Amino acid sequence: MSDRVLLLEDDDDLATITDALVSGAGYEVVRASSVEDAIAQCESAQPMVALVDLQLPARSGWDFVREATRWPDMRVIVYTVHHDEPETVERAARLKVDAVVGKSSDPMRIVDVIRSFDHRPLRNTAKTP
Amino acid sequence: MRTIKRFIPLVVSIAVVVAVALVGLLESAHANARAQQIRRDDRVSEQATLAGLTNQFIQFALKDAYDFASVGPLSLQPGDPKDTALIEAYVKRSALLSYGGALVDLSGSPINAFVDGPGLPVATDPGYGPLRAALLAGKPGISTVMKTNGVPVLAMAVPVQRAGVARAIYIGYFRADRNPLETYNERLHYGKTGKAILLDATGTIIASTHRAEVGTLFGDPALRSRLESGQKGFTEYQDHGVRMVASYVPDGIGGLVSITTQTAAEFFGPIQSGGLHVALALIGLLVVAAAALFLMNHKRQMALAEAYEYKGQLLANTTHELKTPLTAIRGAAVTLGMRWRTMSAEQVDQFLGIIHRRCDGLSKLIERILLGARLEAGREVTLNAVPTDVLGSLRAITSEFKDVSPKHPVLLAAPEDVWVNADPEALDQILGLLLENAIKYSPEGGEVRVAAIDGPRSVAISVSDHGVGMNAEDREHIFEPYFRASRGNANGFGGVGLGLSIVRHLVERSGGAITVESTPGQGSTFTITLPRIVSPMEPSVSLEGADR
Repeated sequence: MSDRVLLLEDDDDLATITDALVSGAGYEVVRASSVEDAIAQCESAQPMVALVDLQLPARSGWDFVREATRWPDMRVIVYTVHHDEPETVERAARLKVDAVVGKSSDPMRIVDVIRSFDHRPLRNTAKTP
Repeated sequence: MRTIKRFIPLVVSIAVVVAVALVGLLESAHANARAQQIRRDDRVSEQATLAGLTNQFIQFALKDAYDFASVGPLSLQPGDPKDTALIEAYVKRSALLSYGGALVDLSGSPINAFVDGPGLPVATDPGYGPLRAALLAGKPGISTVMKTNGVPVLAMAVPVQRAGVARAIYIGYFRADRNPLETYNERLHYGKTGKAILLDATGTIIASTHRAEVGTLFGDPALRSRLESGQKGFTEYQDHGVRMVASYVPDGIGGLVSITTQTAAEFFGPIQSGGLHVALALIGLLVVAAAALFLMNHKRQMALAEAYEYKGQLLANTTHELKTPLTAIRGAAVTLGMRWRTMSAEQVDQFLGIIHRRCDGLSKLIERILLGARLEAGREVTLNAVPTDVLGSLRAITSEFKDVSPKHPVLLAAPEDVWVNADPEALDQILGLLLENAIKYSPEGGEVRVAAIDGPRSVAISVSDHGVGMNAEDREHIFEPYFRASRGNANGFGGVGLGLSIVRHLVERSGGAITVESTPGQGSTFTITLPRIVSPMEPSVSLEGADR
């Protein structure tokens, strides 16, 4: 299993920030701004975890979640500002999403969740706040 | 489920109205029945009272007549002065004011008379007919045909018996300006069909407001037997196929019975039909009220449901638009706080840049929401129109957007030295919102064109994109506040739906107009026209003169 994390995010600023936090924790971040990009990255990089923003200009993040079943070893985390809406939680459960994390919660929360899915031994390069 | 819940208040309202209507109907029916009963009881009581008062005259008169019949000894010989003296003495001590009295033999011929007044005709008056009939039948009689000086006089007669055999008839004359029964009838307001009748113990009519009935038997044997029961009350009977009601009050004098009769329709009519009309009117009113309530409630519920849905969507859109920049600001700040020591100067600048840019964006968004709220509340925005260089304004705004959104080429084509009369800040806001809109709905790398065309009286500025475009239905509503076209909602484009409504308001307040052309999948072109001025030295152009 790789230490790559796919980040599907169309907002450049948020992608930059999340990238910095996740890569700072010792993971390699591969970025995508559309569903098509994300699928291509999955095929080439085989990420361990996918962080999926839902609100994208063209195809929705949910479309990627459905496609993600093609990579059963990849954990899917929905990373959204709508994390506390019942519809989001219900849909995520229905599509067997591994976790739903709020963008507006503690920024380090996403790193903790990624780590919970990482069963490899902790590396010295991993930085914790 | 939500639809069902929406109708619960409506169903409850209808149930309450129906229940109220039923209760009202039952109460009305009950009240009507009670009113009828009260009315019947009142009629009987009223009659009992009035019969007691009005018939008192007749009854006392007859009692006197009976008393006289037993005074004896009468010779019953025509012209016997003893009999005359006896009659005179009796009349004078009579309880009632009497005009006089007379004795008539079985054939109706006068025997003796005492008259306290001038010129009373005696046995030859046709009014003696009923009295003769009474005489021959051995029963009391009454008549009002006797008149003196134009004043009606009541004549009452009883048989004078000797050894159980009627030998003569005593007639008493009494003052009666009118037939007491007619007065009685009038006081009861018995209308057209009401009659007042006095029966003797055999059921024969001895007095009636309908004189033709005098001397005949009242009703059928079954009815007469009921009248003889000695109780006051009322009973229904048929008279020539007409349903009648008789109220009767027996009295103990000579077995007399006071009766009033009326058709059942008239007797019960006023209350029965009135109650029915009230009940029908009440039902009609309740049905109309229920229908009105249903419609009002349904419309209100629908409007409320739409308003709640609209509000919920609006809140979700606004919340998302506020949360996203806050998330970026917070994330950048947290990252800087944790890692600034290990970051390069460029990285620190990058994160500070994010915070700065997102704060600006957030500030603009809040201003836009406040402006939208002002406009929606009908509050005008004050504009300060001055000569404004179109090309200069377009250059400034397109340059800004090239920096903000480098992925979208923004191309500008505008003539020099073209001026409009507009508020520079409002124009900046109009152009900024149109550019932001064009970029938002364009694919990555999608070109946005900004062009100005100088006209004789106005300047047209257009912003075109090759984005998702919109259908005709969305075009109709695209300038309405908080409207999110299907392209926005379905494809995950952010926004609260205020930008274009603000643009339209500012353009129109600047004396201009805005139009949109769009084709789904091919892009949109928004064009605004603003009043043109020839040069900065010509600061004012009337709105009437502007091309709109």
